[in-house]
Amino acid sequence: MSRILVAVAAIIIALLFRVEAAGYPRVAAQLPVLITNVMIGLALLAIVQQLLAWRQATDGATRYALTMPALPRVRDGAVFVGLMLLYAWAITSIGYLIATPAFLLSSMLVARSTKPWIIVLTAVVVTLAIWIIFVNFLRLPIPLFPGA
Amino acid sequence: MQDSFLLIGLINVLEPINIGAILLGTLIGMFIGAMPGLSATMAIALLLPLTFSFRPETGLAMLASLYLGAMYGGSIAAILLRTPGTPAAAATVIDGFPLAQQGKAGKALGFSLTASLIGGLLSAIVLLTVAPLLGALVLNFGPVQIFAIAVLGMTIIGSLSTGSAVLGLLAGALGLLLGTIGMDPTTGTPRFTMDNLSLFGGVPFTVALIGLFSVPQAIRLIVDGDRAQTMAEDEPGGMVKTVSKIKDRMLPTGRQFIEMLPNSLRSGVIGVIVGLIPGTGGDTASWFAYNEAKRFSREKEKFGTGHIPGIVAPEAANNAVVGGSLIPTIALGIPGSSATAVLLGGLMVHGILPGPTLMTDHGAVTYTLLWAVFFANIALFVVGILFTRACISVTKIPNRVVGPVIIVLSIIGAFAINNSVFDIWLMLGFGFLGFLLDSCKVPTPPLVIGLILGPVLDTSLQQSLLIGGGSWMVFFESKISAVLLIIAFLSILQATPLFRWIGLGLRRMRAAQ
Repeated sequence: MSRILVAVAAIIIALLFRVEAAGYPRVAAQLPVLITNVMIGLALLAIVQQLLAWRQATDGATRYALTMPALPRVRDGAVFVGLMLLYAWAITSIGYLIATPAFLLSSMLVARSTKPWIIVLTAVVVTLAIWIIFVNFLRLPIPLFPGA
Repeated sequence: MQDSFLLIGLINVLEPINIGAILLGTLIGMFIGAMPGLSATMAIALLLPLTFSFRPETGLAMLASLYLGAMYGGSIAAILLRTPGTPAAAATVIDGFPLAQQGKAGKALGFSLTASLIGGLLSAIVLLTVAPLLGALVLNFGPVQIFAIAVLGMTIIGSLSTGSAVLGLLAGALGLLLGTIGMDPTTGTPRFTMDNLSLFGGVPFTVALIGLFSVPQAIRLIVDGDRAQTMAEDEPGGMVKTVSKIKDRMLPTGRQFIEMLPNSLRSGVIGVIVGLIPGTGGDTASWFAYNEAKRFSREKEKFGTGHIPGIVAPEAANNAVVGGSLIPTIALGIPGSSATAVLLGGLMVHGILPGPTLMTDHGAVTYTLLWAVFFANIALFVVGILFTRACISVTKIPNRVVGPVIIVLSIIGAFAINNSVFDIWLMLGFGFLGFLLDSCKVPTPPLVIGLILGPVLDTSLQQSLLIGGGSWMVFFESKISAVLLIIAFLSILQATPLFRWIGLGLRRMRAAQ
């Protein structure tokens, strides 16, 4: 089923790009239109292949099923993604030196990565190491504190 | 001209800073490769921003050494933990782990390291001799032929990628489409930029790479935890005890070295040839070499029980792939694998655009890279002898500690490229796209190659059509481009059921007769 979803998503993306390209000069639209045609063709082929595979399959009703991962794995993944997005926002608003250890601590604690003292030590060492390399050595102008 | 570049490259690479970069690159690569689940590609993508402040040749020497170091590092986890550090080390598990269990972990790692040296040196010599020849040939090519080469590269990579060939081609097409984002090279029209100035120059390739290779990996490490290791212990066959110490001698004796030489050289040649084919990589080469070693062996029954040739073959092959896959990357500007695509990203970061003129316009840097691959193999041997024992501690770091650290490095790295907050979000966007594609078993390497080849195709297509007065027949007026495009068309067709149907039809006809 995932193959069908991918193919449908590819067709939608191709159509969106095609509609957008319709307003461009002919030369500028040439390659994007060609690629979207190829994409739609390949996506339809993927759907046909999947339908043929289903027709030949012998495992009855389950053949259409989507394989869903176990709930705890989905939860762990979702929490981590949420923390990741929060970190991406926080690094530019509250600064690297607060956002980074906070992200490392929270994500490792939530995931129960290892012993708490190792988590704290890792958060401190990683934050300092990256700060030394990227800010001190490479002069990266990343905000370090809130309002910086 | 080429000879002078060859000499300039050699002089450049022997500068203390470049030798230092090679040693550091192999060391970092070895440590990252030793961590189960972290690939060589991800290692290069994550450390690419670190090389910004270096001179191009120094940065590239470091990245190439990192690639080689990660290839060997993968075998450390494979031999000690039965968990390949990189996909290319999967075949090493079969004989490496049983030998380590017999208390000969040092011997297993020593043979792996020596085989890596032989395979790597062989491929570096081929790279140094073949890449300039191919590069000189390609110099005669115009936009028509370059377009055809890019189309062929794309279709081969798509159709040979793991999993479904159609999905591989689809991912490649998506990459090409995303590669057209930005200003049109002829008219200057901004395309698909959503009026965002940050996208006018196109999708920053390195930002996309960091996202595609690091974020999905980090999410998987968090979700799976240390399941990989525990699964090994739960598998049929009883309790499997991982090895945490090296007590025996690492280096092979002179006699053992001579005995392993034919197998190493054969596997090295396999690695170079497999590396030359776009879309295939270290994993294909190592399995291929393992099977060939078994086929040629008089002691076939010993394979799988800790037999040395079973370690030597995949390790020589996967390191030889590096030089092989760099040949099309450097000579044609078409990366043969995702790792070499990231290396090309390294060139682009330093303002060097990949393409057929790479070996002439940027000859000094390119030849330094070629020599760096040669010296990195020697450095890997030295670093491997000195630091393999220290690598064991790295294999014990829990996955759920590594995952968040990867995210911090990815976000800082994405910001470092253009000092742009937009790039952080773009990197995460590509990361989620990569995760979705992985979850749906769509290969991501064709997407990456498509992103690189998108602008190449765009420019060469428009130039070709100008030459041909707007006629598409221009691609069939040149014999070279016509042949390349026909091969590309056939490689797309072989991804469809058409060939299978023709085969079935022929068989039925024969049966009816």
